[in-house]
Amino acid sequence: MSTQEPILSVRDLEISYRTGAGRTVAAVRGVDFDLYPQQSLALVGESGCGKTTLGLGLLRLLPKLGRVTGGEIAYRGRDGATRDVLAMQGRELRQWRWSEVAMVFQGAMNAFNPVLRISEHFADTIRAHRVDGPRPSRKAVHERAAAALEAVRLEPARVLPSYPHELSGGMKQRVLIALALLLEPQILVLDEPTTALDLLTQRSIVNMLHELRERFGFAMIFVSHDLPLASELADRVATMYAGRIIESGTVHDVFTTPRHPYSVGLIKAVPPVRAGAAEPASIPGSPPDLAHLPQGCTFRARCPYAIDECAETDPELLPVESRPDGLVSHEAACIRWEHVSLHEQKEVAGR
Amino acid sequence: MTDPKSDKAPLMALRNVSQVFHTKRGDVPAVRDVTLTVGAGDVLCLVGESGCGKTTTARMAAGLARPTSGSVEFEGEDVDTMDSRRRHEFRRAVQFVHQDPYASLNPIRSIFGTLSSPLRRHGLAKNRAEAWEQAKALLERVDLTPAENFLPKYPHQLSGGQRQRVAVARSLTLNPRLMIADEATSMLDVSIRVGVLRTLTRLRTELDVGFIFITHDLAIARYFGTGGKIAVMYLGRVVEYGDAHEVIDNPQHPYTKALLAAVPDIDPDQRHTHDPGLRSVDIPSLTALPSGCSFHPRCPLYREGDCDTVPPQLAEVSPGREVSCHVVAGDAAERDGAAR
Repeated sequence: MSTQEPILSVRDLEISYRTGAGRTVAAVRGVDFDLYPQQSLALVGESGCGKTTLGLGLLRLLPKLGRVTGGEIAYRGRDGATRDVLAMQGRELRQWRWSEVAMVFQGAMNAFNPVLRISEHFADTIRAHRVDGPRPSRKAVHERAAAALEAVRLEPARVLPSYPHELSGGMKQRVLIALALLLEPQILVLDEPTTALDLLTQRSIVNMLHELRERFGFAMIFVSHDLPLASELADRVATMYAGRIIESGTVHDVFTTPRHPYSVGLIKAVPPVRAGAAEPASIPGSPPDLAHLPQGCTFRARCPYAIDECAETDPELLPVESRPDGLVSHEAACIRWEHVSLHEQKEVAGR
Repeated sequence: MTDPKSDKAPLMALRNVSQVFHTKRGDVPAVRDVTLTVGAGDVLCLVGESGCGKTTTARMAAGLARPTSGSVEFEGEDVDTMDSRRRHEFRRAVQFVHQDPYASLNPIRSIFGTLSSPLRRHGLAKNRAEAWEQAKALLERVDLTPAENFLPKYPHQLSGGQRQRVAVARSLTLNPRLMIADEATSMLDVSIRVGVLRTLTRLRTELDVGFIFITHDLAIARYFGTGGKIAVMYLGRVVEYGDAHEVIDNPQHPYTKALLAAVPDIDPDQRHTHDPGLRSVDIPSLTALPSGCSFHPRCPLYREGDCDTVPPQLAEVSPGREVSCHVVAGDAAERDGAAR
C-alpha cells in the first residue's frame, strides 16, 4: 500500500442544516483535508463547532435536515480507483458504507436496538452491507461475529446471545467497535468513543484501539472534545471552530506549539492532573451563532490577540510549517499566528 | 451570611453510613461503612468509577436517601431525629446541583420563575419586586450579567454553561451552608468548565459554603479540591482519604495509583507508560463482592494471606492520610518500626 496517496480527500466541504422558514445554517464550511492510510486524525473543538456533523457527512449519514451543499469527498478504494462519495446512490452507497468506511457512534448506551440480541446486530450488519452474492448463512455470520468479538477481547459465547442491557458500558463500547470493524473498513470514524466511560475502562479501550489499528491497518478519524484523549489516540489534529478547521498539524504541533489563539485557549482550559502545571483559564465569551456569523475572523470577539485587521478578513489556513506530501503540515487560520504561543498567553490570560 | 456557629461540630458528618438496595437479584450494598466530614468553607471531593457509591453517599448527605445504618449529622444533630422545624432548616441549608443542566431546569419556567419560586415559598421575598431584586443579585453572583437580560429568558435560550450557572444560582437562593455538586461540570465544554469551577470556588471562599463535590475527573478534583480533601471510593467503600493535592500527587492505594496512571496526558512529551497494572479490567458486581479486600482480584499488590480473607480498614499510613490496604498499611508499619 502506497502511503503517498490519500485514501480520503475532502475539498471545500460545506454542510448545511435547514432551520425552517426556508433558511439554512452552514454547520461545516470550507473544510479541506487529506487522510492518508493508517493515519489517525482527531477533530477537536467545543460543542456546536461542527465536528460531529463533519464525521456524519463523511459517511453520508446526515440527518434529514442536513445536506452537503458544496465541495467534494473523494475516496480511494483498495483497488486504487478513486470514487466520488457524494455521487454514490442507493445500493452502491450502502455497500460502500461500513465495508469501506465505518463509524462508532456517540453514546454506546443508545446505539443498540434494545430488543435485539447482540448476535442479531451482527447478522443485520453483515446482511445489510453484503456485496452481491448469496445471503450469508447463519453459521458464517456467527463465525464472523465471533472473530470480531475476539478481536476486541470479548467472549463470543457470553456476548452474542445477550441483550444490550445485559452488558456493561465498556462491553457495549467494545461490541460497537467490533461491529464497526466487522467488514474490515479502511477508515473508522469514532464519535466521542469513550465519553461516559470510566477512567480505567477508557484506558483499556484506548489501548485496544491502538492494538487494533496496528493489526488491521485502518485509518481513524476521531471526534472528541477531550483534548488529552485526542492527544493519545491521534497522530494528527484538526481544531474546529464555527464550522471550519482553524488549525491543523501533528499532535506535537497543535498541542505543544499551537499557533491559533483558539487552540491555545482550549489547551489552557484543561486543568492538569500533574503538579506544578499552569493554572487553567477559560476562554471568555461563547461561540458565535452560526446563523449570524460576524464579519471577519469568527473567533475575534473572544481572542486576546485580535487587532483591527481581524475584523476585515476571515483568514484561510496559513502555512506555519510546510512539510512534503504525505506528511502533515502545520497550518493555522490566524493572521497573527507568529505572535501566538502557549506560553505568551500568560500575560493576557488575566483579562 | 449566617451567624457563625461554634466550630465544635462539623457542618456535615457521615458516621459509618451504609446503604443497601434490595433488588430482585439480591441485596446491593451500594455504600458500606463510610465516615466522612465536611466543615464550613471546606471541600470534600468524592472520586471513583461509576457504581462506586459516590452519588449514593451524596444523596444520603443531602437527606434524599435514608442510610440503612449509620447516621448523618448536620451541625452535630442527627438528621433522622430532627423535629420538623430543624428539618426544614436542614433542607434549606443543604442544596444539590445536578449533573445535567439540560434536564434539571424546568423548560416552561423562565429563569426568574425558577429563582423566585423558592424565594417566595420560603418567605425570603415578600413580593415580586423583592424577588426580582434578589434573583438579579443571585445571577450576578454566578457571573450571568447583565442579569436583567437573563431573568425573562427560558432555559432553551441559554447555553449549557449558562444553564449550569442558573442551576447553581437556584441552589443559592436559600443561602445554603453546604452544596452538594454531583458531576456538576462534566457535561460542560472544556472552555467554560473552569469558569463554572471558579464561580463555585468563590462561593466557598466568600460565603463560607461547604462543598461535597463528586467527580470522576481527577484533574478537576485536584483543581477544585485545592485546600480540601479527596476521598477515593471503590465498590462502596472509601479506600483512600487525604489532602487533595497530596492524594493526586502521591497516591498510596493501588487503586488510586491505577486511576492516575490511566489519566490521558495532553502533552505528547510528558507521556509515560499508561499501564494501570491491573490484573483485571472488570469491576466486580456489587451483588457478588469478592471476599476480603474488594479490590484484591484486580490489585497489582495482591499478596496471599489477608488480602482475600480479611476486609482492610481505613488506617492512617502517614499524617493526614488514610488508606484501606493491608499491603500499604503493612509497609507503613514496617517503616515506622525500622525508624524506631
